[in-house]
Amino acid sequence: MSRYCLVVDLDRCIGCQSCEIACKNENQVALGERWNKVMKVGPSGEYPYLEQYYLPVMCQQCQDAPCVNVCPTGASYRDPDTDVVLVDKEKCIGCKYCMMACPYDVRNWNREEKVVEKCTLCSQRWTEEGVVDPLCVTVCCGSARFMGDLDDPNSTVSQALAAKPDSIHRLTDVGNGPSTAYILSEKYATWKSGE
Amino acid sequence: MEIQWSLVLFTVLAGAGSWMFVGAAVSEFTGRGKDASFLTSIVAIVLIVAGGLCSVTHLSHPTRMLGAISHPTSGIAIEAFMLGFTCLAIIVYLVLMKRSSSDQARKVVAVIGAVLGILFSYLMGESYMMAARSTWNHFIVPLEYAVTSMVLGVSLYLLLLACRKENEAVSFYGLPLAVAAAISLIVGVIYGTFAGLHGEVVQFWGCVVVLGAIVPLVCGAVLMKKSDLALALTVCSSAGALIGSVVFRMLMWASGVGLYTFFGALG
Amino acid sequence: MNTDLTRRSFMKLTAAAGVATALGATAVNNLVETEKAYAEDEVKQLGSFCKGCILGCQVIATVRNGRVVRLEGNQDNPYNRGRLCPKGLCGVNALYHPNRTKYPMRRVGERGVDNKWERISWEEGITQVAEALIEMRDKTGRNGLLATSGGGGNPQFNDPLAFRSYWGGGNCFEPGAAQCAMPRDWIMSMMFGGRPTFPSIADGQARELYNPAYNCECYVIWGTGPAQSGPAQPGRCCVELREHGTKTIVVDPRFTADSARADIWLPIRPGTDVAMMLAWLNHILSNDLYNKEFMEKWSNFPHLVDPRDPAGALLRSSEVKGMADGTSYVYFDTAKNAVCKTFALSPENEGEYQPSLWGEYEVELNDGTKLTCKTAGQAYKDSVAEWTIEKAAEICWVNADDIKKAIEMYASANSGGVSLGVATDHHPQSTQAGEGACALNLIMGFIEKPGCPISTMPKMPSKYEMQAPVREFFSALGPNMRQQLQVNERSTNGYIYETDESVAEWLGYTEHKGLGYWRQSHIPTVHNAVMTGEPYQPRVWIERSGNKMTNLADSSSWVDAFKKFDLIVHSYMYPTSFTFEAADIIFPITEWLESAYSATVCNYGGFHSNVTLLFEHCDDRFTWGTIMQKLADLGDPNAYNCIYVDNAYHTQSTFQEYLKELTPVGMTWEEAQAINPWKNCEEDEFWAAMKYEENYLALDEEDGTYTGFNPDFTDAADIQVSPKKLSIYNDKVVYIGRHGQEKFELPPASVDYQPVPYYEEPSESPLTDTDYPLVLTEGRIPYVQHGTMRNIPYIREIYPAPEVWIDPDAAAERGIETGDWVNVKSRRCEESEYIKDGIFGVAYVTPGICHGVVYMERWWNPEFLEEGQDARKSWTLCNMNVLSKKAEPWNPECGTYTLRGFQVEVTKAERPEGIWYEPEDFAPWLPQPSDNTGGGYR
Repeated sequence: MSRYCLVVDLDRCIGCQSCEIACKNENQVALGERWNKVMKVGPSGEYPYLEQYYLPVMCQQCQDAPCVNVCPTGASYRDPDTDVVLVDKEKCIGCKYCMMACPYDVRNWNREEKVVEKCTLCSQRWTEEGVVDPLCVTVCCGSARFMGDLDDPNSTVSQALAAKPDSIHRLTDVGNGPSTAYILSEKYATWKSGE
Repeated sequence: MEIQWSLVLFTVLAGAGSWMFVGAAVSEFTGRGKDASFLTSIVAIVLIVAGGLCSVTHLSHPTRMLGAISHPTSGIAIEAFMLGFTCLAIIVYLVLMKRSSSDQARKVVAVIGAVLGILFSYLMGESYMMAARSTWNHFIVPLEYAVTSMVLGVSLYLLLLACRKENEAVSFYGLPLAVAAAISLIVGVIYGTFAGLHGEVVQFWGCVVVLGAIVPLVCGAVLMKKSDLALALTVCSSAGALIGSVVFRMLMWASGVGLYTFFGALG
Repeated sequence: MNTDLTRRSFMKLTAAAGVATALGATAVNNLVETEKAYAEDEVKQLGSFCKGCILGCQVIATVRNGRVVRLEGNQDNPYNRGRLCPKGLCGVNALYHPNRTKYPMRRVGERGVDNKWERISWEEGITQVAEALIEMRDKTGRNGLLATSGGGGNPQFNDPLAFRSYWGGGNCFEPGAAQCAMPRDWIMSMMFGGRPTFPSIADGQARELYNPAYNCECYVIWGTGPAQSGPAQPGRCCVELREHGTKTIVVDPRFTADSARADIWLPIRPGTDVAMMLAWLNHILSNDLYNKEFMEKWSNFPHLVDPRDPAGALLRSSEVKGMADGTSYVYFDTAKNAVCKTFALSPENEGEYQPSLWGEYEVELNDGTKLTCKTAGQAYKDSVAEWTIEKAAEICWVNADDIKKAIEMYASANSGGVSLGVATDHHPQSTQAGEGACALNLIMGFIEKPGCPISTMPKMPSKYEMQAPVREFFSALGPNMRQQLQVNERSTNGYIYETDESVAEWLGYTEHKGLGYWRQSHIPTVHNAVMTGEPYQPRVWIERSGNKMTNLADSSSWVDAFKKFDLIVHSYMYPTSFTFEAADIIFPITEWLESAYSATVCNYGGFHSNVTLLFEHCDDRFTWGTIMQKLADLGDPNAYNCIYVDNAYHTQSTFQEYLKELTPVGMTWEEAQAINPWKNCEEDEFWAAMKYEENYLALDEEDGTYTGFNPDFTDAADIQVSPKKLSIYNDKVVYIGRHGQEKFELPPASVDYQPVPYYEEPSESPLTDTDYPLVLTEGRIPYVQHGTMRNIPYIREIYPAPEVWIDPDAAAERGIETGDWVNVKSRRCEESEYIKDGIFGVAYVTPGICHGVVYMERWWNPEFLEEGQDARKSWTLCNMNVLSKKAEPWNPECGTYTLRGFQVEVTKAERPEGIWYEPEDFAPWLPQPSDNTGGGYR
């Protein structure tokens, strides 16, 4: 098994939104649509002792992916070679059940093609020679984003998590098992689960 | 979440049609209203197919629906299969009826069709049980789908009988209608109390509980005594049940808040 | 250069008819059908440097079939490490923007009324400009030239300055300069001797902070937003610093990304920075938290102050009895118990130097007069003594305990520094803030030390032998070398292009002599001259920047000024509000992906590479040269000598020669592009070459003294024997105020410049203003630089309209909630008909803003330049700089006016009609790729 996903170190995220633009450039995402979005959590607390973090959200690469489960045609599927959750747009009937079933509302409705799409981890760029970082990771100004296989202890994601083992958070899990992890140190802000 | 009219109409029509056929099936055993079974089955299949067509209108690429074969366990695929099987059973029933086959065979097919229809009306709601939406992810949701369909289907069945002036039969079925409405009332109260409505309390209790369950309940009770009011009472009951069914589904959509609303992609 | 367009189709393209047309996306579709000269699916990866802002991140452009299809960073570059910000990532959209100005155009109709243009040839345009200059020269003189530039959009700051100097008269300004970096750069270099970089992280200085050794213990981010200004470099750098244990203190009214990660956030009231600095200085000096040994040995605090001098200049040794020879300073030596003349230290004599930092000492002058003189340190300390932490807390609206914690955190660190950003440059106390911040670095000894922003960066030799420039080309001097533009000194035949008189009459220069550092004129004085003709009338304006309506203070006051010019030329990549309001001629200028010029970034060398060239675009540097050549051909003697004797300019016809100057010897241009940029050395070799204190402890080969701190910067011109100290007590600025810093004497300014920073309450102050109770500040966002990028769909999708940050109390009083449109007005709205209705933005109600302060960044709306729209609204609806203040008070030294820290009122409003706001609105601006034409070079 492999568990490719993005891991974001929120201690490092400076909210510049380069990841959003890189994603749109690379994946030709239309205006008004997105595969990736930076949320601002806060500021909260008593002025001037405030805290705040940015929360970039995208497909969380769930282990038991609800989108795959509800998709009537197998358009939402888990790639047999990489285990990455993807959408085969050719199969999508546009019923939007996956969008309803996604606990994180991180799927995009492509208005022109009338299909659902989402973050692919830029796995379309992967080659025989190996896995390539997505653009949102390579351009990330805070070096806050990592992509790799959680099941591989030497991957950048595993190492990022190992470096701050007490600061690992995930979006609320309703049984779907999101793979994406967020790192946020208590000294900067209290994790608010982003709800 | 915005109200998905296609799916509201789909579940209302298909549910009602399925339960109308249950009426036909019951008449196979009671003998009352049996003459109307052919027409009932036709109306039932028309409603189910009309519902199915409504459902298709919310799909962008319905031609790709054949892909459902590749993932038959998903809620939508099951709904599609159930719709097909229910219709198939009804068609077989109609064919048997036309060919005047044995009662035994017809009864078997009627029971199969009724069971499929009942399951179908439940499974249409079961598709919405998803962990991402806490107000949907409750055992009562598919039950509410089934019972609102039941009250509407039975009411329409009786309305059809009343139109054929089979007032005796209608009166006979007053009790079943009252029982169905009572069940719907109980399920509705549980739904309204526990399933987490967001705001539209008046609409729910007024439309779904009062119009959708209490009105049919009263109609059923009165029918038992007053067969001469059959048409008026079945119209009332059908209208109440229709409003109840539609409003419940609308409210379900309106209260379908996700765990997170990051992209706002569903409005 | 190898273009992707055949000669024949290029001819067809240039032969297109000149038809009067509007400039919007809907009106002009100049997509060029070309005969493809490239191989099918030829994919190249070309290295270059971004110019979406001044920082120059290293990029790799993927070019498919001659068209740029992707930008990525180079992971190996030590400054951006492959990171790119939204501005850089939108470089492709900027390049292929459908509204690019494609050809030279001439106005049809009236300025500020008609938005109609006809296409002309480069030759026609250049000739019209040159003839207007000749006519102006003959009628009223050379000083009628106004040549301006500005940051944002790939500018070459030096070229307008060089053009003006070769032309021999007139004025130059940038909306930045006195309002951006120059006051800090100037005043600080005077204090620490110029060699190390001034500690501005957002201006691409302070590079020691990028050193992977991460030695900085405490970094004070004061009025600067690393994550806002440059996410990929300073923003990234600060992330790494924090991750490696650097403590940070952020002084900023806004709770920015850096504030949110700071150990201490001090949400200061805009315009009060100097008050806070004085309290820091007072606390550090009076509690002996400064670096005493360093200050004694290397600062000018021991030098005695002349008590007779109204500004407090230092006493010259030549006035002191027995010290007649070689003017220097005097100090009190505690070992000798006597007043002595200062001298440069060496390993031999440093033991004899036992100066007193503090106290008052009696000095006998040549005429026998006895003076009681304070040390500069004592004078400084006395000057700041009233500034208790409590007083600063009250004025700055910051909690006193937090200020104290911050000072103690900073002063207990062994390395670190205070970086200042543009915030204080936007206010009349620009130089005072520069002095205060610099002093905070220097009194701690935070200079030329590992981890300290004020450090000298090594210059690594080029890997390749480069061809010597054929022609003098001023952009090669770099962005902070404007002061080197002494064209007379560069003449090969001793020609005098620029007379002393022509320099002395730069508008506002006598009064604000700091402007000479970047060879600027004073913007309000220029405006006044335009409106009144006094002391002389500017007549021909050549402007090369984006949108002056967005970037000048009180910009609506310029609309009537435009009417006074004979000719206005606008050179930019696309039309802006300025184009509509002012321009008669527009020249199409290259985007950064089309521009070529040299670059050295850390261990990398090479050039900004023109990966394509579209339409008739031309780098503006060649435009200046081509105008100069036309002037020469029209017989102007200065221009003739410049072009044909001194060979000083490249022109549109020498572009190929110019490219050779960027090419390593023995390579073709294509080969150079393919290896560009190249590593001059490995990164670790670069950092290992940092010399730190060796930069001032190295011995002078001639006299064996320590190199010290460069007296060319630190000493006034009358000092003959320099002790080579840090001029923390800024004696030199007093001298400059009275004499100037040219080779000739300028008349004194009307007020003395002061050697020690002092605080002045903003002229519009919330302490006294009841009509406009809220303080407005501006500040950077990561998606735009200056006036750029408001026409980029992916940027506007993220940030469709300017946010107006307001605290919850002020918002509640006004019934304002997040997402509401609000109206903002200042006193300028009472004075100008154009903006009487105020401006509009979208409220963001947040506790993350100094309470009582409103924040808004500059804005303009290019959608109003589309056909059928009211073009004036492009700059009147959402542009906070129509509210800012051009009028006095100005900074005495640099003439800085007020872009922040003035008073406004905010009310709830409706969204103004016509503003593009929904993501889909911006679709007309999506890129329309076109092919390489080779540009407008001839």
